[in-house]
Amino acid sequence: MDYVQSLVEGKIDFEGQRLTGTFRDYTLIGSAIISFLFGFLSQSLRTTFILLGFSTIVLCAVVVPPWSYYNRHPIKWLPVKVEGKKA
Amino acid sequence: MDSIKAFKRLGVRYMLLQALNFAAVIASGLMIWKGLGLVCNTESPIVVVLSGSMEPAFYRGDLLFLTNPASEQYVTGDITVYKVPGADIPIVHRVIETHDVVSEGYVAASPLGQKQLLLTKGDNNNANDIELYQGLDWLEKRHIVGKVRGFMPYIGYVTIAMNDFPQLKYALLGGLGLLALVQRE
Amino acid sequence: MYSAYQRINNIFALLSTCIFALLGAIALSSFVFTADPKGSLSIGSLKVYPGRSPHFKQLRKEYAFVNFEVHADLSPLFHWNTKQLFVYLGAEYTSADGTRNDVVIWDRIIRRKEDANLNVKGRNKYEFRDVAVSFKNVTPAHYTLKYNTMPYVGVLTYSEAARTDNAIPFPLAQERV
Repeated sequence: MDYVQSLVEGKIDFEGQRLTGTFRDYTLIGSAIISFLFGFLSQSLRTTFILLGFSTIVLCAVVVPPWSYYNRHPIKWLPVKVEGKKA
Repeated sequence: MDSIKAFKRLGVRYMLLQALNFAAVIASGLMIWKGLGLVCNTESPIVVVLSGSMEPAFYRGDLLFLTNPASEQYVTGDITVYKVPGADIPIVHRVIETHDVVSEGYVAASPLGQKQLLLTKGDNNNANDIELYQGLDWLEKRHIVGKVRGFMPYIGYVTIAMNDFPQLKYALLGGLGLLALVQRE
Repeated sequence: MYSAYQRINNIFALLSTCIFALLGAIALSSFVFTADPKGSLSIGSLKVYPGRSPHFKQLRKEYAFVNFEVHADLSPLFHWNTKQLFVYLGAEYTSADGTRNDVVIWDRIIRRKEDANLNVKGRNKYEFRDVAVSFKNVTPAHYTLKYNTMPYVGVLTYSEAARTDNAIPFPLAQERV
């Protein structure tokens, strides 16, 4: 159950979160502009929306699953202080 | 029990703030809608197409933007949204006949004040709309909600889908519930 | 961006913004295309017969029958944001009592660029009658060919492609043989 839960949750670290955010912004805005230009030049709305849809699917595949790439900077917690033991 | 405790921890002030936020969202939505209606001179500036009688121009679920400028007469070719008394849903059809009546002994402030008789027809229908007028022979200006100026496809389909397939509503609720269960705080 | 669900949510929020911006850009791009094709329209014959209206059953009204010929190449109007053209032929005249009339007697929906070169010899599709019972004492009518360009997204535009040079008078009603 815990395994399923962690898979569904797909936690990533802070550095990974920053990366996915950048990917999302560049891919979506970039592909919107590119698909508009391509569609306009080829005079086909279909081209526009196929391009946009395709890049969204690729983006989802890259960003949504918790790839280990996004977990390369785990937080280093301070060691637990054990009570009763003076340094 | 836990949820009540959580509420108590948040305090009255926070709850009031949330309520105020909620009210502000509703009020601004209503303001935008009514403001748009004022500018466009129509009671509903945006409508969702509910029937297929204007296919292939408009399909069910398409979004239409209406205006109803007081300074213009309707002309043939205009696509109007009209509501005749006795019919419960507004209809989107094209004007195919206009008759600008000049009444004798009646001097209107402007030609626009004169009576205008209209006949409409759905592009996909074979016959004109007389059967839909609930006994009226002609459509008149006062029956018209607005004329279509802009168009956006599919966006309104969500509302229609909810009505057509009630299962969808439950599926959506169930999905959200499942998500809430699976997610850890 | 912490969990997979949040990432999906985030992507779709930005995606919907992008789609709306894209739709806006597409709608605006239609204004780049400013084709205004013209055509020709001629009226072959015009006859008036008395008949019984399907709606006003008790009334005997006069009906006009128009034979017309239309030539217009509207294909320049088709670009990436043109869903269809609605082409319609209207008659404009003034009745005996001063009522100004505009009646559509024929129309056609054009959905493909290949079909946009119109060469039609036809008769009125819709019944053509006056608000009053007869066409007596009405002014001669001008006939116009207009079109409505309907986009996939954006603003509907209207224009006129052709107009008869001279107004054509209505003949007196004749009994059907």
